[in-house]
Amino acid sequence: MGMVSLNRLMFKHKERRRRRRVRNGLITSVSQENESLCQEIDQSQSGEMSRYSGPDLPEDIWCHIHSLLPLRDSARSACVSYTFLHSWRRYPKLTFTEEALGLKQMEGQKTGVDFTNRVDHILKNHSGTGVKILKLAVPLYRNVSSCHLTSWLQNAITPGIEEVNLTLHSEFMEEYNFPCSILHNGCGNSILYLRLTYCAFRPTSGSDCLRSLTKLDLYKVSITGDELGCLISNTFALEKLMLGQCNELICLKIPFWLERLSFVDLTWCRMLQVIESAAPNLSTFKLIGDPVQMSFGISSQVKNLNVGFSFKPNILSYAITKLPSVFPHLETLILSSMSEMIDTPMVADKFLHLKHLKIFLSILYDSWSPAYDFLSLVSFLDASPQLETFLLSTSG
Amino acid sequence: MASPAMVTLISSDDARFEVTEAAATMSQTIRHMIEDGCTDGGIPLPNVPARTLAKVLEYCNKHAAATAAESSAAGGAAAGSDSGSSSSADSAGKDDGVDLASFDKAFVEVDTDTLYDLLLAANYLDVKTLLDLCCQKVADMIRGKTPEQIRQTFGIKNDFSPEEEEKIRKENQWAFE
Repeated sequence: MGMVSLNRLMFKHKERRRRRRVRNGLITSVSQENESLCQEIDQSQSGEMSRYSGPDLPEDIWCHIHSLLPLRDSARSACVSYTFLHSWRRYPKLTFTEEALGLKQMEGQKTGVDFTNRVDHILKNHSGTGVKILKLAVPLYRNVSSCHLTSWLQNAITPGIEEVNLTLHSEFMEEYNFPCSILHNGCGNSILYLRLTYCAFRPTSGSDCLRSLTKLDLYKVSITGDELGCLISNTFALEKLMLGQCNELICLKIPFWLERLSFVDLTWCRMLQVIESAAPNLSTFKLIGDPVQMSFGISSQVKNLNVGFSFKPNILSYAITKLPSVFPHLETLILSSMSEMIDTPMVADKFLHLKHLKIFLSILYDSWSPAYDFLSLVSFLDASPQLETFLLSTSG
Repeated sequence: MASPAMVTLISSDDARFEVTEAAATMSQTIRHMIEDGCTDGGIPLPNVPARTLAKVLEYCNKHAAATAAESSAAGGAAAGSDSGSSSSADSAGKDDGVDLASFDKAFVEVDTDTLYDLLLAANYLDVKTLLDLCCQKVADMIRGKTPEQIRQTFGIKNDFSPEEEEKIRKENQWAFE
């Protein structure tokens, strides 16, 4: 920012007031409405500035102070003065939850009209600049139309935004089709964290729109393997990928150029059959659900692995026979089994670097073979020459 | 061990302050001046009076010392064995964190005029953590208050006409419910 050099050059006592004008001059370009407001501020205050030491703080300090306030306090304080109004119009952390909007205590009306009205009203009056975070959690039981959602996203997702967190509930509304186009034209390239739930997300090839993205979290999102592939092929900064119940996903391919990717969590993606990862620094991998065909390359650096909670039987047999070759550098392994019909076999392949092993057994109903020999778990100890800790937990 | 490098800062009312370079360079503005070689005869800070500068330097000295202690503790832990010494360094670091947090809390327990002076100085000197601390204090003072209470607390003039104020209040009526 030019402020520092400006300060260094202008060692004069009246610099502060001049700076305020310069700043206001910059703000005037934002919108005509703001322009008139700022002119009024200059006119009304220029003669009295020294008397009111309070408001004589630069506008961007007030904006910073407002960013530390909850949504409601910032909105309420807009009535204090033009400076406060201006700060509210540039409020950067748009968190639209029932609680933030003061709807929590207003039970009764369950249509979502009040939620829609409030968010709509706030975003229509927001300048659209300076938004860093958009968190939109449509409350359970409240219906919000697709066209409202899209217009909100269009208002708030502007260049500079860092977090987009959209929580919907498909049970109470039609599946929302997330408009990928709003991420284009530079609007998506500052996003660090993107979380979507209960919607369809259909990126196409050439979707070079999330260049800064470090964390992608999709829950109950309709997206195919190809579409996800289009998206992550350009997210070079990606560090964490979390996919929960994305049931259109059959094949997940992670390219080798995602060098920063270290964490992948796949939970209950029921149709998933194949995972191929060439990401060189992937160190933590979690697969909750049925076993799938896995290929992580011969130099897989995965050190922490969590596998289990499948309704299919014999996860432990699967783990001890398949995992040592797929993950040669494992140090921590967590396994959860809900059903073992055959004893855990002795194997030739070893977990050569495994230090910590946890096994959780959910012994429910008759899914567990009465003939299963728990002592066959000793096969894991046999296969883990470097083991330091072993934790076995059962629940039924 | 060599004595730490010192710099002289000159306030708007010509008071001179001798401080370590580590404390002074918590200010990015001063850091740039030092890098540009503008330190001969002391660094003039014509926007900061002595009273405020003394307070800012109290903050910088405390934080620079805590940073130095933290890095030497981390160095000691790395040099020591894996288990014993690192855990003792950890707990020392935690004590420092608690100590620093209570220092910060007490530091901004001041009247609003002093708080403004600190905000302006932290902004001009570009000491980010101090600016954040003061902004958080102001935000905490705004929370839960009505517009009129905020004006009174901070001596802010209502520059809206009654019609304008009514319009803005209506626009944000939900926040008053």
